[in-house]
Amino acid sequence: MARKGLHIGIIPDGSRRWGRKNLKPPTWNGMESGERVKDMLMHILKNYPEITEVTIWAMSTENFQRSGTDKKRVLSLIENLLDKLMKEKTVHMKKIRVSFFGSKFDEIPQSLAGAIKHSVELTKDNEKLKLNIGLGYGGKYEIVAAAVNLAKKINERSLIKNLKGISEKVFERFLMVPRPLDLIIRTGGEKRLSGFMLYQAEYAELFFSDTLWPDFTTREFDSIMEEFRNRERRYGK
Amino acid sequence: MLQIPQHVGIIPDGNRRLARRLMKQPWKGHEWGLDKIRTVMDWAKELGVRVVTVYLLSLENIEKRPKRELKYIYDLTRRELSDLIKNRDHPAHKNRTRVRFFGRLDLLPEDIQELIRMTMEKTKNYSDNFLNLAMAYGGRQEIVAAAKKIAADASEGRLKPEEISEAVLRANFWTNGFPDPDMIIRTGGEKRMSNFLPFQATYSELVFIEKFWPEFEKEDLVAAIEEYGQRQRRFGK
Repeated sequence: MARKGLHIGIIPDGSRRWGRKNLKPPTWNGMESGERVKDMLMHILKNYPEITEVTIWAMSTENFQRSGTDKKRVLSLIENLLDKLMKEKTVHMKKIRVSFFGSKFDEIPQSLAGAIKHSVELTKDNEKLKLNIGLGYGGKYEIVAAAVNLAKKINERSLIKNLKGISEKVFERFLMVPRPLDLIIRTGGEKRLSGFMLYQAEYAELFFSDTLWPDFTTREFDSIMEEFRNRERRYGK
Repeated sequence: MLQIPQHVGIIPDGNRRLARRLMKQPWKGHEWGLDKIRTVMDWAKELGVRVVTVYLLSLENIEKRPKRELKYIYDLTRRELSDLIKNRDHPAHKNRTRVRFFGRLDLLPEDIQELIRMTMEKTKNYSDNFLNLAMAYGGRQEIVAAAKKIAADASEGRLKPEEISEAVLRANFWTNGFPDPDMIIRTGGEKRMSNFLPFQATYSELVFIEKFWPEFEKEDLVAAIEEYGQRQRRFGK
């Protein structure tokens, strides 16, 4: 996996609790959560040229099992976010390339599917910052899917006949997001990775914040980046 | 009622830094580190933690650490395993602890591989406690090795691609048969996973401790277990 600029991962946890704390009705569309994503992206574009890729875990495979209103909220949140991003007239917007990864794309509402297609198409030539949005994503799912696809390719003999030649590089081609993560930020207080980019997170610096996602500020992001710069990364040395 | 994690994973970081701070050769710290592992096994048994998995040596370590340091670690291993094999009073026998090694053991010196084989043989009938030792281990490498094996099975008709599931993948892991860790403790202040059980630690609670590994005390283990008990375990739903 090639390294070029920083790749950061975000697990934006805590929106449900924030909603309850702020007495949002069950029909709350998660607007503030989407706002926060947009704020972070604009902040990164403006102040962190060294960050070239952001991967955000919008919804997991397990989330899809949640109750109807919850699931609806997350899906409409994403639709809202995309809408806002696409309408962002500033120069900054032209620099983000939007990409989606995960599963269950056949289970999402038509309007969202349309918004996804539109955003990917509209931004496909933008080069400054790559944004990967994980929908129906699970790390274990990604790995199993990669193993299945690898086996299929071998079967079809369209990969390489010599199995000995299968290296990590070859396997990584089958991952949904083939770049290693330099850091992961998880908000919402939980201190576990829940399988987020488990393969790509090998040597990622981890930052856990108790702040609920909609309350996460650019200032807190700055202090995390400051700490990241100060950490000593040894990669096993 | 205190909830005790059945399985605790440990990244025993900080041996070298502690040694340097005390003006010793960095790898002298590994000797203290080994003593600490033995002590922690006694505490684990006392507290009701039945399975402990320790990250002794990574594949990256083997590649990047100075040869003298590796030799020191191998010599410590030789001494300890020889003692376990010959001496009925070794804690492993007293505590009836099944000791298993996992990783690319074939990359270790031949005599150590033999000592490992004998150790696993001598303790294989114990089932009171379990100590799993990751040596020449890397999570990514484990995943790719499993995927390769599965691809080989598929190409030779022993398996159909659509039959590949998480269970099939896990059955091909070096950790096949081990339970997943409920909690992972990393000492030494760093906050990253360093390629330790990425797939298996999906839902593990992560506890990061500033102290260097040889400074780890029973109260630290108790505190970690208490924290584990308090955290809400949502399993992604």
